[in-house]
Amino acid sequence: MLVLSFQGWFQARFAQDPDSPEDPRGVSGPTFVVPGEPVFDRIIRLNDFVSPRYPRLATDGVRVTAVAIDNVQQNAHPLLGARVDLLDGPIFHQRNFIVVKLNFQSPIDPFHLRIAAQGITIQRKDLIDPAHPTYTFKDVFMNDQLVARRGNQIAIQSLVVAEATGFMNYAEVRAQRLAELQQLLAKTIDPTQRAALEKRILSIENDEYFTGEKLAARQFLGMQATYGFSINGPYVIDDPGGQLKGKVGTSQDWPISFWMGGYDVDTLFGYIQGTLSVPFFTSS
Amino acid sequence: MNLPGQNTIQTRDELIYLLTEAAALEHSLTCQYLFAALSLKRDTSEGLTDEQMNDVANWERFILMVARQEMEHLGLVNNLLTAIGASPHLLHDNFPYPTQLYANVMALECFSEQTLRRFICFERPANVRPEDAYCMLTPVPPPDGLGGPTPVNIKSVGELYEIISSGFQQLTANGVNLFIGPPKAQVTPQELMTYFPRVGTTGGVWDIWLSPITDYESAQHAIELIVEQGEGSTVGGTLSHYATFVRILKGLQSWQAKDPNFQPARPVVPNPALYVESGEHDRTLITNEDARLVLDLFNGAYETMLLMLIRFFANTDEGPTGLGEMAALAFSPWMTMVIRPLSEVLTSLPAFAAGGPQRAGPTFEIYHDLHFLPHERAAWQVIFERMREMAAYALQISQRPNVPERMKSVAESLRLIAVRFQGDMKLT
Repeated sequence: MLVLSFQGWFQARFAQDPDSPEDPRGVSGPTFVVPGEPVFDRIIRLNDFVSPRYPRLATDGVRVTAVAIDNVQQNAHPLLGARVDLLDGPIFHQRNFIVVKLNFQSPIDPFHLRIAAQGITIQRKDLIDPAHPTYTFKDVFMNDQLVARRGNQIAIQSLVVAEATGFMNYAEVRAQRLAELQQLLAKTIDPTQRAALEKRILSIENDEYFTGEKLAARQFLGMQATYGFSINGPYVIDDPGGQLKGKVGTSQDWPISFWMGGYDVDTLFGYIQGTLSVPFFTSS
Repeated sequence: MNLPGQNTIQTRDELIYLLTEAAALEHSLTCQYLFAALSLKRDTSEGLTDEQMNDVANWERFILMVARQEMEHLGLVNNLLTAIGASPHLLHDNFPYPTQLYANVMALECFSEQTLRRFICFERPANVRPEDAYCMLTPVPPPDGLGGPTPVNIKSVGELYEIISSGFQQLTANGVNLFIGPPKAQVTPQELMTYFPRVGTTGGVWDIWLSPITDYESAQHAIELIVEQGEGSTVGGTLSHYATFVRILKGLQSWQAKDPNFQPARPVVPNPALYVESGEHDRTLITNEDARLVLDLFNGAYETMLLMLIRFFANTDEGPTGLGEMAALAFSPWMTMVIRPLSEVLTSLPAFAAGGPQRAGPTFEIYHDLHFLPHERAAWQVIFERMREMAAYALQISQRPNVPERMKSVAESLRLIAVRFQGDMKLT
């Protein structure tokens, strides 16, 4: 078995309730666009971020951080440091309780994972309904089994998230961010950038008035959504030069397990950590 | 019976009467605040600078929060009605209409200094003089030709709740067995999906706190919450609706002083209407064809929401599944994915067939008595058929060339809601 562990910051720019998730700019929820940014597109990005905000301006995306083959850690492997991406514009589906009924349930669809480095590509799409390969989440949302498979477990005030993100005290994170943004504003001359910082500062200062939003902002910092399923659909395996030194199994599903959490409503970034297990037969 | 005009409550009926007035008032304020908030401009392409747009978006955020809390008050008042054995009240007069309150008119008007002054008057704390809160000092005379009880002679929202609170106190002291209604027919955080634990609280999502009413203490707690949040707080704290509107007014005046051409709101016509009777001069008939279609859909969606809410609050034979489903759809999905987006589409559409800058807006019109649908499965079927019809209608509207792209997602939301409702309730 080839086990690829990955982690890093992801970006998801979308409005949250009581806004509609399709709201292009965010008004009454905890997330919003600021001057100079394009409207929300809801897409979950593991790389190639759109208008990243301080302190995520130079954030690397999601990478493979460990490789194991048959339980043996590989210290030098071509996929160490490989880029991990979700293709085809995935979004969190919830639609304010229309397509999922439980709080904090957010299936991701489409789910099309790609890991690539040094000319190697390992890529596979999960079919939400294998019997109907073109179906999307909206086609199957009434099928509890299919939805549950792609659903998530929720934990709040997660230890794992705290240690991965550094968000150890949620109120302090917000207070510290406010101070940093104010310092940044004092040094910023460009009017659009100033307006962008002022809007973020105002939002945190509004914690004084919006108790619900303050609690939501803090809660998301510590929330962990854990997903686990086996990727079952069409694949791409590209290994010119045989750098993997083995054969990837494609008749079998590939189990993936990951969590996403520590979502910061100020930066619109969260953290992801997980493993992809790929059937692998080592060449002798 | 001691008539309510004498401002004392001595019977359950009188308490029901005043709570019904309170419910109509909270509903009316919700509509007025939503109208003003949703008339605000959306982005700098509408002629505002980034700085101005930051403030305008912030004002909208605050007014929507106030509107949510008015919905919370409507929920609490209906909980109070249910708790004392009465039926819920979810109707209001069509706008505009006169009121005995100092603001003197209930009207749908776009965001402006005049509108904010009216809102400030509505939310005036008891220790602020009416003239200092922009209230009209010449009261509207009561209507003639009464065939029923004398209307309540109450000048402020705070006064209304003071009398209601005293009524609960008096009737309880008199030994009346007030709390006879079923707790399960009340809105609580469970129905709104806001009851989840986190540090410091289990509620407060969206800045609304709902609680069931089961006894005298919980009834008074609900009334105190309503008053504290804004309808007549004696101190008008910084979190109150009064203080919020005063802050917004100061912000607006500050921008106007810097830039006399500052226009934060779209030119939404006052008191828009889909239908106007001959002789009615205070309502603005919407004549643009696209706007009329969207408005027709909006009014249908609004009515359907009210039917769901009436069924929820007045449920008789509903099992947990039915109650849960009604609540699950009527609140977050319907309000945030249908009502509000349709309102926003309306304010982007022209009001008149002849063109011009004026925009349409949501009317919250109710054309006929909305009755409680009394039989569970029949009620669900009626509501489902309305949903299905609206989904098809929305799809047709979304395909018209001059209708905003956003209509497509509203149509999709309506379709998905109908699919969910049909599946969950096993309807044909």
